[in-house]
Amino acid sequence: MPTSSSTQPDSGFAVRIGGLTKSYKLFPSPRERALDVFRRKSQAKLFTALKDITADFPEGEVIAILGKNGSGKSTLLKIIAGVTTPTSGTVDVRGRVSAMLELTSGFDVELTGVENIYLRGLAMGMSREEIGAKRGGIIDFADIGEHINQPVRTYSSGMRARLGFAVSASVDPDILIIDEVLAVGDDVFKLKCIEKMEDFRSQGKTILFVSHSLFTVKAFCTMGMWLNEGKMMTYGHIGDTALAYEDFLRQERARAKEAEMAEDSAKFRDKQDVLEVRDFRMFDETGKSTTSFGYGDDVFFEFRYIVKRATEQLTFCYTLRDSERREIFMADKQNEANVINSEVGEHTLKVRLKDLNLLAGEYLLSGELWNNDAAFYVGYSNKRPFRIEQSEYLGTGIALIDYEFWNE
Amino acid sequence: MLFAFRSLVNIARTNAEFGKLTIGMAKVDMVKRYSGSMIGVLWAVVRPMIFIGVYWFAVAIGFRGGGVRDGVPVVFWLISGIIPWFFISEAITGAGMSIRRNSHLVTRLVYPVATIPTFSALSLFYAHMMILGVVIAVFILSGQGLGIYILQLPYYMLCTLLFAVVAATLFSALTAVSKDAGHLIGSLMTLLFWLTPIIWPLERLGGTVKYIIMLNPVTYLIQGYRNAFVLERWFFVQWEYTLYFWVFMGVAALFASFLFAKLKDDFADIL
Repeated sequence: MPTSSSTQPDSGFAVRIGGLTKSYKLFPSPRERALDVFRRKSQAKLFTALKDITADFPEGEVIAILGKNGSGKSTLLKIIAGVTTPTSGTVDVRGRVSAMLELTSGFDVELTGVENIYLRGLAMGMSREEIGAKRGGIIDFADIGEHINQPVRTYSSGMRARLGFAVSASVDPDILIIDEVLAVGDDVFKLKCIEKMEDFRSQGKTILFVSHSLFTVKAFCTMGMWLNEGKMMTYGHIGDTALAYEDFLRQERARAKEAEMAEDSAKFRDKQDVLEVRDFRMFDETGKSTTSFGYGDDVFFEFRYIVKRATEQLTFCYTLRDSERREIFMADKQNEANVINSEVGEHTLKVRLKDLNLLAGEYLLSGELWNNDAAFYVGYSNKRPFRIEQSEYLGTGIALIDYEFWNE
Repeated sequence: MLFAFRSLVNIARTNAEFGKLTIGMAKVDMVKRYSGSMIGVLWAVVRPMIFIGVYWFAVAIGFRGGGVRDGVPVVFWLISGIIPWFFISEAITGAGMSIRRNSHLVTRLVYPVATIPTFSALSLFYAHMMILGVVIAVFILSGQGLGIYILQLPYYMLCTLLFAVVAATLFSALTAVSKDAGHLIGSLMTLLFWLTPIIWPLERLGGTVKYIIMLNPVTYLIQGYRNAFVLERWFFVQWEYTLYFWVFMGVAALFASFLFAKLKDDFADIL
């Protein structure tokens, strides 16, 4: 596992963490928690949110913390902010920290925006005069109009984020911690925040930043740390970290898809005592099985289905998708014209997709047999891929739109 | 034991260090309590006055309890005991929930948690001082008058504030980790009210029962306010009782600190 690496080895660190571990005690009931205080040996189950993290956050860097939900990002930031204590390990923070942890970000929802500005200032150790001097700037930055004199509980999440960012940024911190707040702001505000953070960076301040927008992260951060299930996977230059993380996300998605497909086939088995579908194949006009077709060719497919119990009005339907799973066309499931032979017994259904003018590329064919009365369906093809080859260049996109033109 | 001492020193030091913050936060807390209401802080005075009116009516007129108690008109006798009780009960039930109520300070900000019960008790104490001002005015304007014994009022106010801070520290830690503690404390308040000589005179009891009632530190505080307003007795005359109170407070402070320090690290994780 790579440990700390600094892009500027000579400069000091803003935050140094060593062997940081955080476990939460989980109790079956509040009563157990209360009793546990008096027990010599704790009976709590431990949930480890962070496992042995060692890293330096160098001064003047913008460091992204990446990871899925529940990977320990927020816990790490809370520990650095000093809100919660680590179970073991050390945290060394140099300078004043201003943290904006999640949306509510330390607001007292019963107080108005202005009163909250005052409260936050107090909590940061500012005097009434100092706060008074900064108040105008904060209100301008937050730009939420009349709402500033309303209780924060009436605010939308966007307004909370605005005020929260304005307050956090105004206290002139050495280390700014921003957890998941840009997600709710509109683009104008996001831009304003990023400008402000750029400003901080140019002043040599350190920013720790959590965002699920990899786009923002890549554009704005200089370093990245990727956490997964409490463990540090990579830490270093933002490009490398983002790449590793993206790759991981892709694999996760593929796994999720597999699980989904397994689930689908399980459903399929359940319905097998009513309707069974088998022997799906795609073929060309000569009858030869293939999944590769030329541009403009007819695409054929067929399958056998066995109706085991009396079923009425079986309707067939199909969906074409492009390689990114965007739907190109789905046949009407309610259409009477698509009703097929629904008698008990074995049938074969052949389908011809006529003069397919899809451009070269990979496409996916899905299809189901529907019974609308019983809200029942059986899939005969689940995103089955097929290719369209093309010998001449016709344009880009998905499908050719036939056109003619003339001068007048 | 050593841990309890260390915790007490730590909590006291934190409170001293952030004294200014605590005073500011007490004001914010007070604003919050009365924000959105038209007459605002006046409610702090109106509510107890209505209570006194009702109790006075019930005790003096309704039950025909006689017009005089311990040599003073019942209404003045009642006021001098029930006013500190209002503060004490609000400190236990209100400030005793302060950490749960101010969870935003615990889970989202870097905030000296040990000062949360302190500022909550202090904000209630501000209201208490305002009421005392009204009470003193009532005593003077009504012709009842005040004796030299009123000079010991600041001493008893200090005792009561300290009691409130210790109680708030203890109970806010308990209620932060367990909601049951909150309900339990709320239920026990009625019991405490009747076990303390607030609307009945301590002198009516005798022997062992009287001493058992006096073990309750709230009795010392209520009797103290009465000493200052109507009973004409100095606190140093009852020096044994004063000594008992301070020993009790010392032990209670140690216990509260011990529990608070034990639970403190869990606050952010539980809330």
